[in-house]
Amino acid sequence: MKLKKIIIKNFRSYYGENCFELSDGLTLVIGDNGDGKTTFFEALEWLFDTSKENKSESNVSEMRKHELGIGDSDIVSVSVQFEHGGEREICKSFRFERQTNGNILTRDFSFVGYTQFGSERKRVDGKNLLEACFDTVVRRYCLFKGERELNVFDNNTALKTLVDTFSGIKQFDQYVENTEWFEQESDKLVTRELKKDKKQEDTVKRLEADMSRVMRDISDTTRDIKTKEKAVSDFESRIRVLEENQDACENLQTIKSRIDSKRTELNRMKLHVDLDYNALLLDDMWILRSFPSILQEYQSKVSMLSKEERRMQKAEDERIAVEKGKKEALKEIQKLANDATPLPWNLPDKETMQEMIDDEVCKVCGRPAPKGSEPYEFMVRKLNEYLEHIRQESAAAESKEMDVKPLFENEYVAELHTRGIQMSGDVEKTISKLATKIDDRLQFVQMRKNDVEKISQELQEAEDAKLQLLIQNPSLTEEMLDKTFHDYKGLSESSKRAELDLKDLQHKLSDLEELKASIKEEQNKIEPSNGIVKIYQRVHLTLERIMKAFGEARTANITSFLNMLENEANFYLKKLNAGDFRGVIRIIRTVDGSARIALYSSNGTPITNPGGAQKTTMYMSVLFAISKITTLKRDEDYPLIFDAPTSSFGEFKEDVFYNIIDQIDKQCVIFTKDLLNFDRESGTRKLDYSKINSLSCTVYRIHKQDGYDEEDLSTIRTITEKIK
Amino acid sequence: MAKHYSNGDKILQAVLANEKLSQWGEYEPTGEETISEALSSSNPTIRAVAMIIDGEENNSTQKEVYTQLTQFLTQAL
Repeated sequence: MKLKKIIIKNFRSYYGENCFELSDGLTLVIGDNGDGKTTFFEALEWLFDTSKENKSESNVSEMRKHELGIGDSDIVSVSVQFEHGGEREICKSFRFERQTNGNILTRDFSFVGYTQFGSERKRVDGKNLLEACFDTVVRRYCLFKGERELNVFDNNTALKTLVDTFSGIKQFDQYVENTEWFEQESDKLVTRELKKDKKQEDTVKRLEADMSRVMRDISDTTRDIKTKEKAVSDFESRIRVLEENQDACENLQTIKSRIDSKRTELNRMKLHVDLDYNALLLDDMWILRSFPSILQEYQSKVSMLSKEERRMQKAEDERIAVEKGKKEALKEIQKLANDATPLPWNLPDKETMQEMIDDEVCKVCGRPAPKGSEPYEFMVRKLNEYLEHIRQESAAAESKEMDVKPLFENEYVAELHTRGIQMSGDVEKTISKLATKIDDRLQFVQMRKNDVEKISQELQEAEDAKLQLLIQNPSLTEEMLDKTFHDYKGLSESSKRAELDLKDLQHKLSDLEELKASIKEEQNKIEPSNGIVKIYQRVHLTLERIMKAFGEARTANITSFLNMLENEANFYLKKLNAGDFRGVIRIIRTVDGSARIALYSSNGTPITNPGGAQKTTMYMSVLFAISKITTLKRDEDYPLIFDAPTSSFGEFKEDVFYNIIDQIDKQCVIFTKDLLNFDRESGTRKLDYSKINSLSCTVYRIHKQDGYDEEDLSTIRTITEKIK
Repeated sequence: MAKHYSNGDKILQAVLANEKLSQWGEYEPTGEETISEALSSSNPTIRAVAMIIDGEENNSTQKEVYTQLTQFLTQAL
């Protein structure tokens, strides 16, 4: 089967008709998130779904719906044209119509097929044509959404389905079951007939009793084995799940341990940083930290004051000396002409003098002294001298008081100086040591503050790393990862114990089977005297060997299929991992009858937790192998269709992967957001033509039509563009 | 042109290829056996195996197949 063309019309974001022509090899459909890759894939899933008539309105293009007026209608359809023993086409569609109440009605679901006979195109039932050309089981191994769906051994019946579908021989199990039943029935018949033989009765009864006991033991042991196998399987599954998350668990534990250590360190550092400054200032006298500089400033100021005091005292002394000199000079000037001794200044007194002036008579000599006369003027002058003297006396008294009062009554400056001297010397030395101690302590605290800052930053980084880890594992919570980590050890030990128990039981069963075989042999050696019983015995032996042959053929068939699958898978693994470590794929049968895919080193060491890209290429290799086996067994090739299979790949791995898959002779359609580069200028992701041009495959670019409203679905339209 | 074998033919070939069975049944496996040919084989073991497969393919019950099988083997052996 080769897909030729896919046409999607009005399916969700695919407005109108969108046509994709596919190459025989690789076709890449490149689009960013939300551009319509998964919608394309789901359009194919809708087309290939034969289980129901799905004409859900949710599949209708919102843009087209929005355009419809009342009574208008259009069609949603997805069709695929393909080659499968001639040209074929299947088309699924339904009509949608806007009703008068504004609602959308969907109707006229149809699923039709077309086959080309020469020039004639014949319409057939779509479902039948699809099942005839691309049946459900094959489709199961052709369409894969995301990396998670790539593991084909994801359930207990997967191996049986695969073997039945692709080994070339199917339904072996039913034959094995039938032949076991035939053998048991014939055995019962032989035993019953032999018991009728008197000669052999005792031997038969003994062997029957032995056989009954052995069979009981076998039944018990088998039951125990099944229980133990279930336990081992459960342990394996749980351990496998744990191992898948082991990296994340270990990383989380490392990060958490780092966070704890940083928190402890941070708290310890904070103890150094958080100081009780009140207690330190007063109890520990940190308040005196600046004492030396303050003392120095104090002493300098006291020195200045002292100097100023001395200067002022000197000026005062000089002034007093000058005053004293002046007085002496005045006394010299006031001496009389004939050197006679003048009267005291207070004679006659002021009142007498005033009276004589007023009366214009000198009452000392009795002569008149009219106004303007010399005696009158003398008396006036005498009165003025009197008044002047009183004034001078008064000023002198005041001056005398001032002379007595010293300029600096107190010894403050001296006292300050003394204090300065007291504070210097030993006191200053002691307090200076405290300052050094405080400085050392503050320096230490500052260093711890720097440490706190650094540790806080490291703590934040660790918290970020933890958050990042949890974001990268969206399906796992921190509690789950913690539990996984703690469960792993316990589970490993329990699993080992269960495996040992299982081995013991298997040995026991093997011994019992041997015993059973020997009893059977003994039974078979019994010579019946009756001829017909001899024939029954021969029939039983034949059926017993046929039963064994069926069982062994079934085992050989599964083993052969798994070997073939392993070989083919390793062939593709080598191709997909060219130039990189790849390991070896092994498909291991599990005790529950299924299988699991595992990666081993060539020296036999299991790679317990392969990386995302390693795991993806491993699963894809098995898919390619299944596809190849399908081609061999059915003489027909089938396409492989993947939606975003490489999300865990790095850029380099993507390049290698697409180059290799481009060369593989197999029709593949891959929907991907790889091969896009971020364009800084436009702020959008654009095709990486340098890589695309190195590929020979067909490439489509799908993207949202520009100018859409982020909140309005009816403005979203996927534009398809064939690049090459 | 390669001969097309049915699923039953392939099972028949796989079972008849069993060494112990061929020794017991005294036949030489060819790897090209078919159900239709084996059903008319003169070798009882080959024919018995073919009857088992044919019975299942024709949707016979276990008991029906067993009865036919034992009747045939009883007469043939």
